[in-house]
Amino acid sequence: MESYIYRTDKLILDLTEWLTEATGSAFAAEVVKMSIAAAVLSAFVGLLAMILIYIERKVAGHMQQRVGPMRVGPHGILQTVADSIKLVAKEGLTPKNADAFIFNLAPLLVFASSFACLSFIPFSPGMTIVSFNVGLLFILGIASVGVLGILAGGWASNNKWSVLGAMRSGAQIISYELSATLALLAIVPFFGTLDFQEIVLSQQKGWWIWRAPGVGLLGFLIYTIASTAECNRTPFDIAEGESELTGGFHTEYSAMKFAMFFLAEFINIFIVSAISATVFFGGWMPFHIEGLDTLNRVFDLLPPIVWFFGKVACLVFVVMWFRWTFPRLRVDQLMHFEWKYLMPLSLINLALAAIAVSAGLYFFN
Amino acid sequence: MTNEKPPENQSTPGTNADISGKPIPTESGSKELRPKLKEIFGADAAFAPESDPPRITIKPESLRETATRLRESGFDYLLLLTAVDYPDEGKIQIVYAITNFNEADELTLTVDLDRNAPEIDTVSDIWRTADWHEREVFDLFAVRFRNHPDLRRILLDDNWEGYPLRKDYVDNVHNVVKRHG
Amino acid sequence: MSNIPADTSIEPDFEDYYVNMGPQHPSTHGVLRLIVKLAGETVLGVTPHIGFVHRGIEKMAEALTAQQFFPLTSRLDYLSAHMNNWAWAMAIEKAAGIEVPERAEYIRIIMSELSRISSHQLWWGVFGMDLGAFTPFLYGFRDRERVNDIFEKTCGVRLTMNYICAGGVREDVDRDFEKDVREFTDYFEPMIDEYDRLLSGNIIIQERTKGVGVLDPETAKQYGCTGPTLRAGGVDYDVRKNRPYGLYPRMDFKTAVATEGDSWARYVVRLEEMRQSLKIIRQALDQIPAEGPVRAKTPMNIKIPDGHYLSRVEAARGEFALYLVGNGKILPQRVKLRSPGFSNLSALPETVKGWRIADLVTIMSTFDLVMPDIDR
Repeated sequence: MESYIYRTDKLILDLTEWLTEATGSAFAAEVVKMSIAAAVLSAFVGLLAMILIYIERKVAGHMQQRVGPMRVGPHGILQTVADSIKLVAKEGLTPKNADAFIFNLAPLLVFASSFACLSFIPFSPGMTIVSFNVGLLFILGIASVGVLGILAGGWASNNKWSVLGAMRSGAQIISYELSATLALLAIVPFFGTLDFQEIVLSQQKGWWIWRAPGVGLLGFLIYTIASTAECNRTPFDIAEGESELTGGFHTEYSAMKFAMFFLAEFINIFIVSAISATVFFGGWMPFHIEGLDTLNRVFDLLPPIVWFFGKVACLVFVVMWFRWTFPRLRVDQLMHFEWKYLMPLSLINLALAAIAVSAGLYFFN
Repeated sequence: MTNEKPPENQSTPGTNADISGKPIPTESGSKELRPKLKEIFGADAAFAPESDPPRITIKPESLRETATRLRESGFDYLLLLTAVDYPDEGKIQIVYAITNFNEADELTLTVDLDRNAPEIDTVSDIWRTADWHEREVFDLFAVRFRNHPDLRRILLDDNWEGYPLRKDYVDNVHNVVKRHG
Repeated sequence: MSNIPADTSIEPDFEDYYVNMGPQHPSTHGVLRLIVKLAGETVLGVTPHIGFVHRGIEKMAEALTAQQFFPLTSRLDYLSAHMNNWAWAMAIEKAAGIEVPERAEYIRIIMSELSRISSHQLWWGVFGMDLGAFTPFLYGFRDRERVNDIFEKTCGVRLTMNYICAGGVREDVDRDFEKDVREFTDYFEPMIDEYDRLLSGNIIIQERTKGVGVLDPETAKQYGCTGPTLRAGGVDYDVRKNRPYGLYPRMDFKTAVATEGDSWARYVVRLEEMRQSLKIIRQALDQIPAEGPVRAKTPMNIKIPDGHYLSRVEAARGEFALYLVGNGKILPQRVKLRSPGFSNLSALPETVKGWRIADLVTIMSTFDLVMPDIDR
């Protein structure tokens, strides 16, 4: 029998069974399960953000011919812990003329939308907090709630720079969401479902990036660009644009409220990379080549959760790589790029995908 | 194949910056300058004896006329415009260092003004760089420039009291006064 | 994606939106305050407010002897400290008739050109950062560190050197000076190509700079712009060529000139200037006499004769001129410092009109303003 590291779906099932027995009702078991999930997820979010920030600083350091944080802990691994303590301990200021309620609500809104997205991510077989049949659609919807927080925060700050940043951000996210959604939509006909676990299972024979002929690769490129823009990351970080807008929508935020925006940004990077990994790179599915069973078994030696995080880490690295090599686009160039190049391209991609699916043009089928 | 050598030292690839190889002037243009100035100012132009660029003192009334003529004869670069305070002689001297972008010609015009009510025509429409320089002189010496488009203080606060570069300006808070033998 | 400024003659049909850029703003590089009138993202007009670091250096000069004033000249444009020192030294030498030893003249040239390189290195890094690319900043600083080390070995200081003095230089160079400088020139030449690879070829940089903020040569001349800001528009004006001082006539170099006058041209001109500076340094090292005095004998307190004296040098940002009025005493009657940034900045409002707020940052960055230099 394989261990629970490999069969997380069995683990979850066993756990649910045990909980149902212990509590005596399926509903109570579900409540307890969700509570555990929420607690685990909270810890995971904190840990994830810390690790991502640490990695970001190390990546930045090594790309810039320096070493990054080195002082707190071995190789500076405790640096982000120290930073977090500082952020928590700082006094949270609300500007005098700001709309205090909305001002304080905005970071929560941004954070909550990112946090909610995490519950649909398939980490491993069976390991999804909420698994239902329109997961992909739902995650795209939930993710765009975050922009409301950014707009609200920028507006409520009562700062002209913040408003400029918020408006930029709103325009940008709404535009690029189209391309991101269309790029994912182009792959949906191939697997014919919107449930994340099923999307992963459909890639048993090969990942969609090459199984969908051409469409997969193009879709992946479009999605990478559009999702980087959705995360407000360089070269699309015009909403913050610290050299132009002194911080953009979060100019007036400090302490934990600022940390929430920051946290949400890093979780968003993780989420878009996770979606990308799931849809294009098979999620937790190990690398398989049909017919080469020996090789496939070697790949299976690694637990699915390692495969998943490995793929996500590679994609996260790409996003960080962008940040430390590219300058920033100007706002009108950004819009031109989306509406004149990326959008038409993703529509063409969608059409191609439809043709490919109806003609049955799959690889490895 | 021609014998022409490719132009040496082409700049950054993909740019069209060109590198000009102008002959180096070995001496300043002062030799041709004096006759040229004689043409502008007339034969009896009074050059001040002890100045490195030739210096000519003119009357305040003839400033604009002289400046226009200089500008037309190629002096397209107002290097600097400033004032010197002479409290003992009761005058403020406005200095215009004028040169051009092509040759090495340079000269200084000086205009003496009454220290108590210094006022002079602006040259900011002749050389636009004079705009800010005149504001600076106004700011630090209280010299009024007639017809200046925007005569405001430039370096100091709008409600600053006094004109610091005047010799009789006393500011015990901001100024450290040193005495030398 | 075409780079054409918006039509600013059309007044927006909503209320004017003013933002206050600076004095604390990341890309005004110091304490420049710009009042920016916006229509959406488009800049309708800019009003610069300067003087936040006005220290009254010209007033202080009237209370200091010639030797005492040197440290203050280093603190004008702190990135061209050598050039500013040189301007003051030249004015004093002109006034008092002091001859400078040949070796000192060469040292002055080497130091000035090194200082120009270091200034452009810093500018290059900051330019990248202003456009959102953080990495060039550290590349620029990595190489600038080497120049600073050379300065430190000889002058004892890394930024406000105060090394060039009336009659020559303060003391002879460090014994490793020649070796260090040669090593640096050999090291840095390929690094300029690396700068090109890292930033110049980037499509975003080109889109952001080409055609953006064109300062046509006539306007530039009108405003008295100098340095790379002027030369980018095709005006071949360099004090080192047009009004040679020191031993520059002996140097074989070319003025970097571009034609378009846009931000990209200003960028290219500065990169080329670094190459030319390296060329000058190499020649100066070849020509410099191995031994000899580096400082003429000067009295402790130099009497400045009655008269007006003008000295002009090419600092990293343009022409730095110094106007000295003597009155026969050891304290000058008046010292006027004509800083390149002051005139360059006055052309900014004209240049940015119609561009977007992000372009304002680009244009300001390519003008390369140093506030202590402008405010004095």
